[in-house]
Amino acid sequence: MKGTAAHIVRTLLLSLITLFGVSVLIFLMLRVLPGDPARVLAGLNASEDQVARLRDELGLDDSLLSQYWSFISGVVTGDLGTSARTSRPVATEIAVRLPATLILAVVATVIGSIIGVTAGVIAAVRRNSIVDHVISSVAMMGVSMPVYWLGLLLILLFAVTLGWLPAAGSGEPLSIVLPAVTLAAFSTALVSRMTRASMLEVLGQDYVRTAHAKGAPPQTVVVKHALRNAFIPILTVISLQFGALLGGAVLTETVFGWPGIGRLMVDSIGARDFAVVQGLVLVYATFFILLNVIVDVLYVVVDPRIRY
Amino acid sequence: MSNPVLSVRGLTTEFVTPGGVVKAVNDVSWDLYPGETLGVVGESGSGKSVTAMSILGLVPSPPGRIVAGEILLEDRDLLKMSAKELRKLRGSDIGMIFQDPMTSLNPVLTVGAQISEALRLHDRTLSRAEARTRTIELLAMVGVPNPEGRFDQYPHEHSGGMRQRAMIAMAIANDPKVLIADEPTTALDVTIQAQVLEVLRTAQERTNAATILITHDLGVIAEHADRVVVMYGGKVVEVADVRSIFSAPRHPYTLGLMSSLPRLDVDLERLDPIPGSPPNLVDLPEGCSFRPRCRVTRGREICRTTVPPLYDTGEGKAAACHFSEEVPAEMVTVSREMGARLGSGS
Repeated sequence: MKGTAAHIVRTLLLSLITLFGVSVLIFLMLRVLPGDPARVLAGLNASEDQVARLRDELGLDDSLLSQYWSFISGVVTGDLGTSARTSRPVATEIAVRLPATLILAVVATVIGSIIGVTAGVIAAVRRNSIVDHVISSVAMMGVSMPVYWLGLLLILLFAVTLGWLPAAGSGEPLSIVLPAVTLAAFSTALVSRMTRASMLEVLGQDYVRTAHAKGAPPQTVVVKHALRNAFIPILTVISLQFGALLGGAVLTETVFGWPGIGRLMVDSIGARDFAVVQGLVLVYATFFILLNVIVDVLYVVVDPRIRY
Repeated sequence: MSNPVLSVRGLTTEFVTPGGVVKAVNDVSWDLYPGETLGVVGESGSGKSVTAMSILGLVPSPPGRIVAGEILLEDRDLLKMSAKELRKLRGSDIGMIFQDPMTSLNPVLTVGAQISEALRLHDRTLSRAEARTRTIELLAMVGVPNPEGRFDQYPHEHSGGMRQRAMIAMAIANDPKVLIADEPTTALDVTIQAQVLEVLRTAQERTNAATILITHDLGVIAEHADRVVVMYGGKVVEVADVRSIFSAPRHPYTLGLMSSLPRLDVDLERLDPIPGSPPNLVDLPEGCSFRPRCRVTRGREICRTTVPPLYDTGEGKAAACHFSEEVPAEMVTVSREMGARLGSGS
């Protein structure tokens, strides 16, 4: 466990370099994008004079180096800058939207993991049976179906036709159901496919035979002896999926009018709101790094052979 | 002799493969008596392990299926039992030791937890603490040093020899009536093999379990078996006490095994390997399946047309050869060819 603690500290220190690289990349990428943020902000009817004044206010005429310096020195002191579009601090903009994305990501991941692992285990244990074929086909559909299409179908059925659930927004507790189910569909499919493959490999191992030979009932063999051994790749898929959802599910948030950071990102790119985009990217990167550290620790918990 | 503790009667186990139906075990019968060690020998694919898996009800199905026979454990037919009844016997009345201790223990559970599980599965009243105490006793019994410390370690922290000791501890945890050891030393270093076999012998003496020792190693058979079943092509070809098997084999295949074995006790000029290769179990030749490799048949008609039954050769011995009475004379010939008198000293 001592090695694990040292590993975490080392990873976190190294991640500072990663974050620096990310900040440089996103800064430069935004600057090479066509379109002038000042012109977008000032509106179509603004005079050249107004645009020039705005450029000056935003510091867009300074050298790239000095622009980067003012951005990064702010970040270090916890100041992500000010949104050009709303004139509010970027940190506030993100903080307002983040909880919606977080809760959607957590709910979708929990649903996807529970159903995905269960379905995958059943498919593996009943390999080549009808149950397996049904699960595998549904999973194939889940992986292939575009989320916005599934989202629209769900809205049509449950909100429009049946009227059981709200179609969009986040005003009521039940509002989360449709976007969460839409996102979970993909996760479920992915997780169940990985679980099935991993379980099939483990179920053929000698130690599974040993468990049978000592008289363990089938469910004990599957859950206690096989699933835990099969869990490392499953955990990897779940964490990658969760990481992707933390970045905000742009399409789903758009279809369901869900006020998360995915939509904030798209809107900010459209408005050339550099400060918000930069801030969001840094937040994503930090999330991913933290998630990786957590998963590294979980690996050690699941498999005692893994040591750092 | 007393009544057998385990009787295999006409056991036939098949595997359905794309190439056809493989008769891995073909009408096999033998008895296991209390307290004895029955050696089962044969080359790869002779049906030794499938016989063991059939006894435990662990033949993977599909593609495997037991199509005929009975397996009587003290008059109860294992093949007629429900899955649940059979599960109660596995790990309690029948203990099993597998070939490769490196892969037979679960890597994510401690060694102690795996042995305790075997105890607690068959005795619901046993508390965790009691199971731990008993497991530590078992580990000590199979010669694991520092059993308290070893209890909480994972398999990857144990050497191959220690793991196989742990497997033996697990197999004898519930004082089985029958202990099946399937190639228990094949995967181990030579230096460890003798130790593990010694542990197995001690464990067997303590529990008084009748043991089925499956191996292709005739040295292990000579050292540890009381009686021997020789298998070839899914069939039993010879049954005899261990002395007779080595000194007076009555089946040409057994003779072939003996004369292809390097020995320390007699000077040999050369070994005499068995020509050819094991039979294709999908498409068994008519008549005797050993005929194409046999040095006794000499083209005789009956070997080509009739599958030899297990002929009684006296004193509880049997051989599946139409001309088993010619084998002793053949042995003299083989010995002369090899430049030594085989079996003279045994």
